[in-house]
Amino acid sequence: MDTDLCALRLKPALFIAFAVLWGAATGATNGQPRQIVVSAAISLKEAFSEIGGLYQSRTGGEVTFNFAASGELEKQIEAGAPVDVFASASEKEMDQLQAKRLIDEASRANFARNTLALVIPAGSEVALHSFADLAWPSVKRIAIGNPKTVPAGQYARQLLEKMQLWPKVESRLVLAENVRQVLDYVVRGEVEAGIVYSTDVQIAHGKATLAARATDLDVDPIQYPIALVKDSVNSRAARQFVDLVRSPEGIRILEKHGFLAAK
Amino acid sequence: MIWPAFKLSLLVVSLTTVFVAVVGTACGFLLARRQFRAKELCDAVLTLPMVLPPTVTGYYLIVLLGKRGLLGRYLYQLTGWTPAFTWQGAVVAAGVMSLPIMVKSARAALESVDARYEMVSFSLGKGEFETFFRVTLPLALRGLLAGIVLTFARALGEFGATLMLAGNIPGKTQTMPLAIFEAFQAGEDRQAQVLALILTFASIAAIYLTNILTRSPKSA
Amino acid sequence: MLRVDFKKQFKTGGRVSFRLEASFVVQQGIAVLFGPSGSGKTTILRSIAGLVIPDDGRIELDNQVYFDSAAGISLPIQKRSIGFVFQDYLLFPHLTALQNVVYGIRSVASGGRRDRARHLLEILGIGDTADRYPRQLSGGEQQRVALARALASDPAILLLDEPLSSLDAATRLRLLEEIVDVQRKTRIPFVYVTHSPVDAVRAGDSALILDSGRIIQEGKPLEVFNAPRNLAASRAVGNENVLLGRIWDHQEEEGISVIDLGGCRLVTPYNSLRKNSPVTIGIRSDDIIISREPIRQTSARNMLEGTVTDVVGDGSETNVLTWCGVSLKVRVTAQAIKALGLQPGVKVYLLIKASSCHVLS
Repeated sequence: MDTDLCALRLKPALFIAFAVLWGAATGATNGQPRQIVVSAAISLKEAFSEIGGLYQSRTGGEVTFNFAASGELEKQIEAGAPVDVFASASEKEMDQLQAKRLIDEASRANFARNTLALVIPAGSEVALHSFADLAWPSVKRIAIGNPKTVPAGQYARQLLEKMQLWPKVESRLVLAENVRQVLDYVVRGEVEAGIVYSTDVQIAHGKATLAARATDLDVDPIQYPIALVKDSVNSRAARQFVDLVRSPEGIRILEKHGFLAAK
Repeated sequence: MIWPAFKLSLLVVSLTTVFVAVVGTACGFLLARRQFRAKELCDAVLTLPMVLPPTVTGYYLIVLLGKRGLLGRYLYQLTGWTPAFTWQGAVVAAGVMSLPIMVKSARAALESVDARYEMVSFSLGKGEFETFFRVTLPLALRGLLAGIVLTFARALGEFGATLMLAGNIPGKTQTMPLAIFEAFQAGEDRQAQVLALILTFASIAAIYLTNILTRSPKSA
Repeated sequence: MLRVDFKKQFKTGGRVSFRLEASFVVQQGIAVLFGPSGSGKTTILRSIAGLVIPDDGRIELDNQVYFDSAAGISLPIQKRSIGFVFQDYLLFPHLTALQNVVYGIRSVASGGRRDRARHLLEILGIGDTADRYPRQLSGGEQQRVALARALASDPAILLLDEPLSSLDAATRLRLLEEIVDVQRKTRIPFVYVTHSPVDAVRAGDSALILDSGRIIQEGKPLEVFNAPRNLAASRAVGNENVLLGRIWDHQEEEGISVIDLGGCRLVTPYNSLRKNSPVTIGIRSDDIIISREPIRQTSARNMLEGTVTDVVGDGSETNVLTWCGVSLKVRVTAQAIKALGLQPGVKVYLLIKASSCHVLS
C-alpha cells in the first residue's frame, strides 16, 4: 500500500530506532553485572520494594521489579523473558515452570504465607460480616481475580466452592487481571465486595473495609515460593537477593506488611 | 469459551458499527459543512481516543461511567444500572475507540462532495434532509463505506478500553480479543489458536468486502 | 413580473470591498444582465434565487414576496419558484440524464414524473440521452439536460448564469436559439447573465448593463449596444456595434456578400452562409468614418446615409451616435467633432469598409 519511496525512507529510520533501543537495553545490563530482574506476584509489591531497597544499600547492585499476576509472569518466563528471580503467590505457577525445567530446583523454597480477606467499599450500605453474606441479593457484583491466571482468584474460587457459595455467586462475579485490580474495583465502589489477600487491605488506606478473614479450614494454605530462574545472567547477585528475602531481616519486613512466616 | 466469545463479539461489533456509522457520519457532516467557532476543537476532541493509549481512554470511561463515576452515579441512581462490567459497556468502549476513525473518514468523504450539488438540489425545491439522502450521501458513499469497514475492524479488535470498562467476564463481556489473551495467559493454546484464526478470517473478509464495495464504477 | 430593488455590501478584512445596487423590473421575455466579470451580475441572479441575502431592499415575483428587509421576510431558496441553470451545468453525476430531470419534478405521482421528464428531454432534442450518465454526454447535451432539469420544477422564472460560456461557437449558436425557443413556449421570464454581446443581442428582449455593481443602462439590446447613452455604458458594452441581419445576396466572383439589416444593407466580404439565414455582424466603432458630404470614389463598399442622434463622451473618448436605418456608434476625436460641427440632427454619411464588417455568428 505504501509507495516504494515511503518504505525506503522508513527502513533506515526503523533501523536507527531499533539500534538505539537495543543499545540502551543492553548497555544498561552489560555495564553492571550486579543488576537483576525480579518478577514477583503483585501482592508482594510493597514488601519486595522495601527488601529491594535494602539489597541495594547492602550490595550496591540494582533490582528491577516486575509486578503482575503470577500467571502472567509465568507466561513471560516461558516466553524467554530475561528474569533472574521469580516469586509467585501460589505453587501452581512454580510447579509449571519446574516441569518445563525453567527454574533452578535446588533454589526453590517457600518464604511466606498469606490469608484471604473479604473487603467491601468503605462506607458501603451493604455491610457484610462474613463470606456467607455474599449470598445476599443486595450484593450485585463480587470481584475476584481470574481463576485461570491469578492465584488469588484460584484461592477465592476454592474458598467459594468449599463454602458451597460458588453456584450462588458465579453469575455475579467480575474477574480481574490481578489482585490489586480487585482491590481497585472495591475502592472505586464498582463492586459490593471483593476477595483479596489480607496483606492487600492496608494498601487501600482506609477506602476499603475488611469484612472477614478466611481461616485455614476455608482454603488450602497460601504459600509463596521463590526460585532462581535458570540461565540467569547474574546468578550470583540473584542468589544474594533470594538469600536476603529468606533471611531474618527479610522475614521481618514481610511480617511488617502482613505476611505470615512460611511453614 | 470460543463460542460465547464469538457470539459476544458479533453482538458488540454489529451494534457498535451501526451506532458509530450513524453518529460518525452526522459528526463528519457537521464538521464538513457547518462553520462554528469551536469547530477544530471539536474535531480534536473527537480524534482524541484514536491518539490516546486505549487504557487511558478506558480509564476515563470508567471514571465517567462507573457506578461512582461523574455521570455513572446519576445513571445508577435513576436506573440502578451502569455500563461497567456489562456487554453494553463493551459497546460503549468499542464505540468510543472507533468513532474517531469514522468521523475522519466521513468528514473527508463529505468534504470531497462538491457543495454546489447541494445548492442545485435546494434550487430544485428540496429541503436539507432530502438533499442529504438523495445527493450528498450517494456521492460520499464510497468514502463512508470505507470508514464503516475500518470501524468494524477497529471494534472487532478492541481490547484495552473494553477490558477496563466492561471487564473480562466470560459469557458476559469477554469478546474474542479478550478471550485470546486469557487463553494465552492460562496456557490454553488451542483455544487461542482457534480464536486467532476466526479473527483473522473475519478481518480478511472485511478487507475483501471493502475492496468490492469501494471499487470504482469505471473499473471493469 | 419580477421586481428587484436591493442593496448589498461585501466586506473583506473588515473593509467594504464591493457595493451592489440593483433596481429593475422584468415583465416578460428574456432580460439580459450584461457586464464584465466582477460587475455583480451573477450576484444579482443569486440574490433573486435566494443564494445570496441582500442587506436591504425587496424582491418579488408575481406578487409573491421573496425578500423584504423592512418586513423581515427572506424566503429560503427551496420555497422560491425559480429554476437555475448553472455555468458548469452541475448535473448530478450519480444519476442518469432522465433521473436528473425527474429529480427536479416537484409534484405528480411517480409514474407521471418519468413521462414528463422524458417529454422535457425530447422537447430539447436529447430524448436518446435519457439513460446515459452526465460523463457520457457532450457539453451541449449536458447543458440541455440542465435546462430540462431546471424547467422540470415548473418555475415561475428561469435564471441562467452564463450557460453557454464553456461551449464551442457552433453549439453556442444552436443552444442560444433553443433557449429563446423554450422561453417563447413556456412564456415565463428568463434572466440571462452573460458577457457576450452576441448572446445579448441575439437572445435578449431587454438588456441591463452593469458596471462595478450598478446598472448604468437599460433598454433594448440593439440600442444599448449601438447607442450607449454615456461613457460608462459605452465602456461596459465595448466598442463593437452588434447588428442582426439576414443574408441577402452573394457575389462570390466579386468576393462580397450583402446583408440585409432591416433598415439598410451592408456589403461584407464573401461568406458561404445560405441565403436568408440569420447572421450577426460586428463593426468596431473606430472602423467607421463620418463625412458631411457623400464621397463616392473610395474602396469602402459601404456609404450609409444617416443622421447624428447624440454625441456622448468627454475629451478623451467620444462616440457619435447615428441612425441610418439602424443605430451605429462611431468613435470620433473631439477635434473632428468640432471641425465637422457634428451635433444631433446633422446629416452625415458613414463610410464602412466591407472588411470591417465581421460575422460574429
